[in-house]
Amino acid sequence: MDLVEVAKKLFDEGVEVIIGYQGNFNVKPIFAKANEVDKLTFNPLCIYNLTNYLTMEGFVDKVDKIGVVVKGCDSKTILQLLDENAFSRDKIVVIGIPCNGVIDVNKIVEEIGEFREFKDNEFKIKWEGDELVVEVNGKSYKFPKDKILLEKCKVCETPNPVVYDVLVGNLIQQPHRKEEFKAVKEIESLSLEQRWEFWIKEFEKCIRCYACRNVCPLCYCESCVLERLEPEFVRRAVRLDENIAYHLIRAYHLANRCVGCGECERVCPVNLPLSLLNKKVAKEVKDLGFSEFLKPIEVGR
Amino acid sequence: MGKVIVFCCDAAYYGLNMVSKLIELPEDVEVVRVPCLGRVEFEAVVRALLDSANVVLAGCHENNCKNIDGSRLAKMRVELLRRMLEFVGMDADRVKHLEISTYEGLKLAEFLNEFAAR
Ligand code: SF4
Ligand code: SF4
Ligand code: SF4
Repeated sequence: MDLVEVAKKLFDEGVEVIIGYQGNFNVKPIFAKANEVDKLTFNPLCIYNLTNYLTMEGFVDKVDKIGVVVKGCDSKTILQLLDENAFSRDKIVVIGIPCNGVIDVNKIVEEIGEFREFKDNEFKIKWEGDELVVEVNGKSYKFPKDKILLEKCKVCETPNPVVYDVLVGNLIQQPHRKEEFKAVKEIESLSLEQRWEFWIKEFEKCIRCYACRNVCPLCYCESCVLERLEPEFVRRAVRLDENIAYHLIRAYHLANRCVGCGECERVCPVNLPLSLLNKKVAKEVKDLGFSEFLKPIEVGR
Repeated sequence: MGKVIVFCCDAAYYGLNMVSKLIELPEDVEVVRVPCLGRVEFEAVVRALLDSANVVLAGCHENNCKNIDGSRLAKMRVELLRRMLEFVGMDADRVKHLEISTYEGLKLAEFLNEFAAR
């Protein structure tokens, strides 16, 4: 069954709304009702982690049953959210998509042209083995997978959803690759001074828009420490020291929780390498063997 | 000499108190008493560091914490923070975790004297 058929069946079974993707080139999230079911799509440009919407204030309480479309990585968020009792399992229907990877759109725009040069419905994109095939304006383009895949997909350990109620398509036999913390190790191999130089350049860029926090599906505390005034652990000032405080605290709050969906890094307007910090924390938490100990206590409220 | 903020759990605090007539703490050392080290937020330690203080967390031995997990939690936080600091090129030795029972006040006071002289 394809996505639309699956969705139709779910609507018949009483799902009120499905959070999914719409569009071909111009991919956007959609909160589809039964009459919009035909709009649902999935393609290698469906980058967003839609589970972020599940923790919008009051959302799950207002709707009886919500369907949500997840890729492998996104599905890990659901497990984590359930672990934290963010909502009850029977509220949501997980529509899992075994995923061949999503791509960095900037890497194909150069060849195929900008969006304004074609109509969205004249654009087709799909994986064919290790190649991405794009059809637009009557022309067909091919791109090798390694060149255009997002970094996170290159080290994805879970292309198959780790939790789902219905599956669209067949399970993928091989995980793409293994996370070996390459980028983290590269930084670790620098001297202390070099690391400091590297990071101040990054931290200085941060404009503290908090987009990285807002987009994170696991940053959903009703009262965020960044908005607390008494005590004011992080001041509002946008300068190096406060930025460092922000980034240490953000990464710490996601210790043992971050699922590596890469959304924070994607939305950052100044391209901070946030995954690097997240991964470092993930690596150390693993190394320290604290994950089991952390679980029941540290839920980041 | 820099400022030192030392978070002490009840046990370590009594320890320090007991030896206060024997050994003096440097002026720059500010003792903050907390019921349990597990209560000391990561954020508070980061804040102190950025306000250019060095930080010590002193509390019960790992398996002797009256709140069971407090000491282990503190140890975990400090160790993780130290590794993060190192990663971004900061001096990890500005944060220390010490296991101090009520009867080890002297050890703590001596350590603080050394640490403040750093
Ligand atoms: S990280 Fe894995 S599941 Fe997520 S988009 Fe990339 S390949 Fe798909
Ligand atoms: S999205 Fe980027 S600029 Fe905005 S707060 Fe996060 S790191 Fe800073
Ligand atoms: S910190 Fe970034 S990578 Fe981790 S779960 Fe949040 S958005 Fe995803």
